[in-house]
Amino acid sequence: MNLSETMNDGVMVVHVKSPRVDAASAHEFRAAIADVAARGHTRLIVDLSAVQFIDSTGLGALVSALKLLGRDGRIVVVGARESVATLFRVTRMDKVFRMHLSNTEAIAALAEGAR
Amino acid sequence: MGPPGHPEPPRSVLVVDDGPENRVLLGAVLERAGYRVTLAENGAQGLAAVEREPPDLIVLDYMMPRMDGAEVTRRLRAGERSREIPIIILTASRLDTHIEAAFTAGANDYVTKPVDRRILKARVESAIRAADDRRRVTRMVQSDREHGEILRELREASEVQQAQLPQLPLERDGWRITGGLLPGGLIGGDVFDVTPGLHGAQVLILIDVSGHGLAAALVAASVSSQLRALVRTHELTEALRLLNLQLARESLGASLRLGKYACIGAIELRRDRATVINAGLPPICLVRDGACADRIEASGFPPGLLDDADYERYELPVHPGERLVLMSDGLTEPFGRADEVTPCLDRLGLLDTAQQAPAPEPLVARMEQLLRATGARDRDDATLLVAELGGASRPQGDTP
Repeated sequence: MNLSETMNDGVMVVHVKSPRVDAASAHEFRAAIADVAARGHTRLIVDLSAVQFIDSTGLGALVSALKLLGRDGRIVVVGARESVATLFRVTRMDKVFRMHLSNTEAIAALAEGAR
Repeated sequence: MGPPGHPEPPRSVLVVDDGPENRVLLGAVLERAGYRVTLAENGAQGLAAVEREPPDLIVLDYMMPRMDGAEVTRRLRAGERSREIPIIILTASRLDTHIEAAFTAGANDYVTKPVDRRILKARVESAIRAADDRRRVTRMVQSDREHGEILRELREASEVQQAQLPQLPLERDGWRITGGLLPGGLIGGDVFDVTPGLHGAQVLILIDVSGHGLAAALVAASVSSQLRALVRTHELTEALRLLNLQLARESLGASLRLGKYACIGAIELRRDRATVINAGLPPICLVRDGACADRIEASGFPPGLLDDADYERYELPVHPGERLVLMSDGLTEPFGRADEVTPCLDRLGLLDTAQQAPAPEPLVARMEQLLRATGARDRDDATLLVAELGGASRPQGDTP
């Protein structure tokens, strides 16, 4: 799975570059987040703007990744297209992973949550 | 360094010959060709050397005192570890009887003395390569056999899974239930159930476990039996809350790593109304007058995903001729969005409430046609369930 990391205003942003997050890539995704968590990050932005399709296994991996971040862990999602956002909505995962349009918005939301 | 064509660690050759000069000469030729060589003076020493460390090939002199080459070969062929080692017999004569005896005992090839180095090298190399090929074929046959066994077991498991599903269509308290399951593979994570609920209600359940294959099927069977027990004694919201707690506890072990959870839709059917809960499936629709009049979705987190979850239920009055439709995302996924149920319902002919919903067989045929038309690869399980309230048991006071 193609992932990259950038720091944005002190917040780690994980960019998912694969068009599909499914059974084939879910394990790798989880492992990548485990690596990020091991470096002490608890608040992440996951950029899904390149993702065209996410299935139930991919969603499971995201929840599993959130658990890896520990009690204070938070993940917010940016750039989810409609087809991806729909899956979050029907599973109510949009209540767990807040969706934002931009990194600026997401960083502000994470900062607010931190207070 | 290895012989030509063998970039791996050097292959080992055992030379068994009672003539010291011959031994040294053969050893030198083979070592120069890149083999790791062990020498033995007679048959007994040779057998002991093989016992210690089976070589990749044995060069064996035929004419030796006490135990000749044919006898050594016979003993090697009787041994578990030495049965497959290629053996090249050295014979001083062109006597056909020696050659024949060597082959009968199980030798693979022979070289006549005086030994031509190039011929010896070529025969050794070709015998080792042939043995490698035999091993590879044996492994392939073995894995093919294992593959066949796994397939057979999966087919049996699939039959068991199918047999556990209720036979549709079903008639219960004026409701007619039809539908079907189109597996994406031999076995999968979709199951459905029609089971008794509280106060004589019937509960229609659709479970879609994340992921595919046997692991998903095992989780689905477990979730199904747990939920069946829970809905008998609890309201739907409470049943799902308890199921989630149980699954969350279980997922502390294996399934957390696997990320297994279940999207569940459940409908409690009564004579004039339905209680609906939908945790993660595409919207459940109430079809009335040719359209999706009500959509129920996102009643709570899919059980097994998060430790604590609450569920909301929806009470819907239902009139004769109306139907409730629930489906797994295997049907909506090819449309690109998990909430695109209306085009699905339309193409399955389920928006037309003037007609009774089709029987399971034609309905499954339509599902197949629909999925084929979308050209989806790697299809997920697709399940469709329809519960329609018949006119015969029309509730009192409700006139058409």
